[in-house]
Amino acid sequence: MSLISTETRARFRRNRSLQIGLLLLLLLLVLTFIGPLLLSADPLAVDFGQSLIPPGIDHWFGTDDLGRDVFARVVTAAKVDLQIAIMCVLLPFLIGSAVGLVSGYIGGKTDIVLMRLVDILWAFPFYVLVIAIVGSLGPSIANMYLAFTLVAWISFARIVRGEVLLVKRMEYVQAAKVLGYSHLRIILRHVLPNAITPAIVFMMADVVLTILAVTALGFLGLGIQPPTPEWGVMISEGRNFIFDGWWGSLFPGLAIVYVGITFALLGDGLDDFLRPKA
Amino acid sequence: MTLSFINHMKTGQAWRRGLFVATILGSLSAPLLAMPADAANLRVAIAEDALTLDPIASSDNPSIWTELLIFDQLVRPSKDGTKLEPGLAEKWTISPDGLDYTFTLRDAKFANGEPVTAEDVVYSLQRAAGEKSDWARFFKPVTKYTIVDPKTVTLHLDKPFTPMLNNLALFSASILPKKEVEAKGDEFFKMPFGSGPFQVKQWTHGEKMVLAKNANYWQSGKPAVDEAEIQIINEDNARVLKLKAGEIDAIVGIPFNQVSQLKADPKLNVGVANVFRTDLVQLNTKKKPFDEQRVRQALNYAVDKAALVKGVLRGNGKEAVSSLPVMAYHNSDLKPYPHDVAKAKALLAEAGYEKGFSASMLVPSGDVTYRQVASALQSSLKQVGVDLKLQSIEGTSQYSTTKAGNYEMSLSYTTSDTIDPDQLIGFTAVNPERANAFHTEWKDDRVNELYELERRTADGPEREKQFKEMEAHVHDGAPFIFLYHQGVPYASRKNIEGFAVLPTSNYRLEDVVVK
Amino acid sequence: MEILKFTFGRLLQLIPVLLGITLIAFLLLRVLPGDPATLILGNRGNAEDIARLTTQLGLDRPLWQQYLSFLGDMLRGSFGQSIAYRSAVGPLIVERLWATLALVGFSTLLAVAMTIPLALLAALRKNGITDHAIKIFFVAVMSMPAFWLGVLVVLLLSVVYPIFPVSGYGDTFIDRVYHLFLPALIIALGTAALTIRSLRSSLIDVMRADYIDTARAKGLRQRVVLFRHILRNSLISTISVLGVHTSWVIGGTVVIESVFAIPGLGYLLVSSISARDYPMVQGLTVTFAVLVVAINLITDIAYAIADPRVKLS
Repeated sequence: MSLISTETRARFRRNRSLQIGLLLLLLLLVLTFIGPLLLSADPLAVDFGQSLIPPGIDHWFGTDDLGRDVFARVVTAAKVDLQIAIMCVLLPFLIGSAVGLVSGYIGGKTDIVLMRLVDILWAFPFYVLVIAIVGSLGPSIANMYLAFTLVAWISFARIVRGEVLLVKRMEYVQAAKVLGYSHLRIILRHVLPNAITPAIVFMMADVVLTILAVTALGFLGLGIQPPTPEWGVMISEGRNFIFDGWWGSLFPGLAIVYVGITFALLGDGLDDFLRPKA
Repeated sequence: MTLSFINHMKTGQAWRRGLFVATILGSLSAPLLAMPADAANLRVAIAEDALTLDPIASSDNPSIWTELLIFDQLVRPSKDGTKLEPGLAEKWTISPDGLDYTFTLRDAKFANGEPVTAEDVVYSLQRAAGEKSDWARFFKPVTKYTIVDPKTVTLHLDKPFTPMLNNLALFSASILPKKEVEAKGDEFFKMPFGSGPFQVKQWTHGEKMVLAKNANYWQSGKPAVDEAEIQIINEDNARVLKLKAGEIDAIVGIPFNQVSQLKADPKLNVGVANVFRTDLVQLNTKKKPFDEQRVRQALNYAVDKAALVKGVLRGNGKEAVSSLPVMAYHNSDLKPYPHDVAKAKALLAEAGYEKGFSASMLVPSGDVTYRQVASALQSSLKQVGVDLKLQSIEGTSQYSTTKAGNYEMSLSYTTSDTIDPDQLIGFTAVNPERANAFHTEWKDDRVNELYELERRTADGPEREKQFKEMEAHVHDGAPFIFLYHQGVPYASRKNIEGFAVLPTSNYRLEDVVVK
Repeated sequence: MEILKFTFGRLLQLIPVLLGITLIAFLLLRVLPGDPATLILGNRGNAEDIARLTTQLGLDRPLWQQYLSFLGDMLRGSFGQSIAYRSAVGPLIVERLWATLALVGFSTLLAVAMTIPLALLAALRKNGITDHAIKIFFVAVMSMPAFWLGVLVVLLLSVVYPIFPVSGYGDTFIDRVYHLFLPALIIALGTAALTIRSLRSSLIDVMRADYIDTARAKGLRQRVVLFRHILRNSLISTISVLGVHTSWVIGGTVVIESVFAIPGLGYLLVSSISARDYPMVQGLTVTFAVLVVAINLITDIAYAIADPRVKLS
């Protein structure tokens, strides 16, 4: 007796993307949460005598211009970057989905007004709006959450609304209405579970775009502020010493690529897993 | 298997998009095909573009440097920054009571061939003291102008104000062609000209400015180049690479860690200008424990300034003794606070902080040198039990933050626009004044008193004594951690002669010869 | 006639969108912390100077008045007065517009040039090694930060092997193509990652479709079939992906322009933000949005003309 059906298990076994994605995610989580405990080097310790040492046995990823261990910094930065990227996806997901749900379910004037707002916001290029908001509020984690939420909710609202419009016409929803269930109950019990899957799948892909945007803000000096290790800032700082120490920029970038590939595969795999094609 | 967000992009509103490639290509070809290459004789690269060329609205260095190439002032600082020399005024006299300044103009012409007259002088200075000017304060002491004849003008003051002559050497006191400015208004400053060695020929914001030789320039034989192109190359490394590749003839600003390597390059001339600049840490004396002089002195003892000059500046600078740059009336008897951890600890203990304390320091973001200095200060202060938290802040917000008093320590610097120490003593040590001792709120009655005196005392040994005493008070009072005077490294290719950054941070391209 | 009506209808629909864009851009910058007048004057101003500038900038007036004058400035094309540059925002933006458009256009061209052969290859070798290699390469590319790629590519192709210029924009047409090649290529790689996948899958779909068999039955050579029928039909859907992606590309120029010091809108945006030049940021935000709207409008109309299957509604 298993809770997971054999059909589901078979589907998982066939899904190479999901398997590799989960494996990479597991490794990422281990490195992020356990890694910092095992580090011998202090990611913040400055030592001018040790500056710009190439990668080697003592310093796997070399040291930066201040003599700080790049490996220690890349590992420490993982927590910061992942936390921000995930919050910057989760918040827009929650708000966008709620708006999409309400807009699609109620329809009528509410729907028109909300979707008009989405249309207008859609015209602003993502980076432009995020940079303008964070830039004017000043760089801080809270402001980044705010900026990404203000900008990114529209994608989720659109996706969920589209699904709700389809689900609304389904027999079981119609039946629930006939039975006189409250709107809240219908939304939560019947509409939401059937409309949210594409948004969840999109969320994975959105992590990829978001981690790129978050680190880009750091690179431009509008994100996390030094000396806190952050991948984008590290690339930007390393760039000043690129002739004498290419490793300062290379490794944090590879870390971003790793995260990107992990979530791209997860998104891909989840898509196949949750929405099996006929 | 598809990347899932592609699907969602497709389900978005935009199913029916196409052919925009053609649209964009259409708009692309026109501007790209325009504009032929400019044959420039001298190509200089700097980091930032000028923002405006209106002298009374400028406060950023690139604008100021360019204005000094286009406009003349009545007097100007000598190249070594030690005295004033004739500019548009051939000679001048100051009445014994210090109230009347009479200038005799030389036979100079604006780039359009019109002569420079006393009327232009009065117009320009009144404009500089007027409504729209950011610099009005510097020229308000002049209460009346008398045009004696077209080549002679007298400025009248109500009470003696010794810094006046130096203020007239400021870029904001540039002499403009009255007729042109009145006729064109703000438009004039888009492509301005004056009586200086160059005039603006082309200005592509953020990219480059082409300066053409002013054929009517009063110094015969100058400028030696027909055109000077100022290119804007933001990134330090890119500037160096382009200089090495010969795409650029001269650059200002070299990363300190590359200076010695460039000096070894046989194709280049490298220099380091000792500009009027002091890097320091502001200490908010309104907050504990910085209200305590012994604590402030202890912090000065705790920092190894020589190590900073060596490690961060790579030797391209000098330790500081006070908030004043090494300039006229500098008190050379003062010695930098030595690096003395024991003394620092003793002073902290005396002040009741034997266990140390923790504090936060504002650090301007994006600056490579400051990033290194901040980290070094953090580890230095740890040795005396001070736990320093770094708080990164955008350069433009830093000033308003410290002004509002919302800080404990702040890593910053001051530069002097004039060769007279009056501007910086007023800015960094006098309270109340416009910056209340550069936002430290430090107050020294003797300094305030001497400041009043200095401004009324004619230049000479008496005034020198006053400045030296003030500097000594600043040194002892230690409202700042005095760090160093950072040099500005610059370089040019071997075939360029006479390119140099002056102590006033600008460069005189009229003296440059391309071989 | 039909198409004129369609165009007119779309233009009418745009009026509230454009108004909305200006309102959002306007409100966005009112949250600016700190007093702009103090920021502008920096260490040279005293209280009197600050008060004077505040009045000059109109910051002491009620919000709705400020918005109306912002709209007025926009209609006059000035977009207000830049704080940093002390001159009208509009002409400064126009000056920088071309570099950004050139970058967007060039990168799109490169993306198309990469997409067609690679997608064909992947579709023809469906599930083969080439197909997988292309897929894996572009998944990796999509995960690479453009600024990081930029830094590394410059190190490799401009410093170690000095083939391309380090940064800048150039003077002549050829010179500009040369300068823009690396930044355009980096943007194009990201675009191609999307379009190759899209074109590949629609190629596979179309190849299955019946009319291809009909064409084959008529005896045309296989290559002609491939190009004339399959490609044309599949490109239509790919172009729509490209269209949606334009907004992303335009946004991406902000970062790439900063890395390669290309004097375009994005570079101006970043420098204006650090200079706290909020009328400029405001003007740029509106410009970017209008650019996206305009490109979408033009593509919609062109698409409606090109593809009769699209209902004009």
